[in-house]
Amino acid sequence: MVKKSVLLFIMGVFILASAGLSHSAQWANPHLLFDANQVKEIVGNPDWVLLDCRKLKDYAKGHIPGAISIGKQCKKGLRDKTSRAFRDASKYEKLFGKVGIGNDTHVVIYGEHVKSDTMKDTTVAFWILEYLGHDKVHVLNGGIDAWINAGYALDNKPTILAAKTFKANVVNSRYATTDEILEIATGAKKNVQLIDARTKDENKGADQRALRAGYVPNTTVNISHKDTFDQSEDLESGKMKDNGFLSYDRVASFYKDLDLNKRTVGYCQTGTRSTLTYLELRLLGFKDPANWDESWRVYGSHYKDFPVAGEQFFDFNRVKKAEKKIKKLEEKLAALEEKAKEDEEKK
Amino acid sequence: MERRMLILVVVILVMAFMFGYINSYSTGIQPGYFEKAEAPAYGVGGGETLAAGMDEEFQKHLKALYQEEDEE
Repeated sequence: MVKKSVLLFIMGVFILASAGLSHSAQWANPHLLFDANQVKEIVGNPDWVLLDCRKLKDYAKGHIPGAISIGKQCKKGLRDKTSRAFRDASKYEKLFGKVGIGNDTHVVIYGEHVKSDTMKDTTVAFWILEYLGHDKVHVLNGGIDAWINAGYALDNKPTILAAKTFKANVVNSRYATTDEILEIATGAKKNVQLIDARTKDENKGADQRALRAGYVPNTTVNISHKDTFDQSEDLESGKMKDNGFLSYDRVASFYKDLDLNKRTVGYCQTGTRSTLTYLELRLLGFKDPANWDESWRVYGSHYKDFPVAGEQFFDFNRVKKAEKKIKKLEEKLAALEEKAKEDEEKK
Repeated sequence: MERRMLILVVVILVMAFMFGYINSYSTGIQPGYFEKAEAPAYGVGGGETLAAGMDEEFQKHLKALYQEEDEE
């Protein structure tokens, strides 16, 4: 009897502990991330707008019923030609109002990762709407693949919604400026966590995309944005590949050593990939997250006064060598074409 | 012989319909979308390829979204 009671007690403790563990292993802000079933419930609800952030031609092929498109993929339509967010909020007010997003509208944004790499467009739109102070923004986890995997049908009829009034209430703290990054780099500003969302090669300087390669001094950690996605087997190559879905355990493991209460800024090459970092920081409950919009493209192109860790100048010798190789290949190709022409004439 | 041919034709038609239906059901893509190269007669010219459903009203709507920006 005693033995049975002890056994039951141990089992009970185990079950409760397991339940507690599974309960604690969740996003701090789970409402920001939707699954396909949650999206299905809001289709047709006039208080909700589904924003398709993919290219227009993909939207035309098939989209979630009722979803709208802004006519361009979001990272282009919502930023200027230099990939920077508009600082004039009235441009967004007009655009979002025209497509039917008002201040009371909940917005669920989706893209696609594997084929078109437009999960980045999703997170650009998410960050911009949050920067504009819109607090009703959500992301479909896994994008349109999640919807298709759930067995729901697509539609190819475009949606035009009635215009609404969108008034921005800009949250400046969500936009990290290059001036702030300089203060962090020089040590004038402390207690800020800086996350480099570029690849390891870009961080080390092996992949050069500006006049100078390297990283911002006092960068806390390099978390390549693609690594944070769930991984699944690619059917063509058989290798494990990022699939565009986010899960708590995987994402949290990258940020486990960071302090939730400190200001935390993500950056990459153009401030695009780091908008995924921003979403992840929001999901995990970081108190003061931000995206550095100008990122390395602006910082790494300055010569003076911008300190760089692991500094490497752009290797123009390598470019020269590549140019020579291309020239030789062009000559070979021209010779082959000439020979083929001659052979054709002989026949 | 003719009866056999008739049955064969009916079976092929039913199977072809089922194949198309299952394909559409599993991919979610509904009939009506044609790439420009495949259907030039649909008059989809210039810019991004649009589906048959992307009517004039929608194109006007998209143009109006960026009108002021383009004018600047």
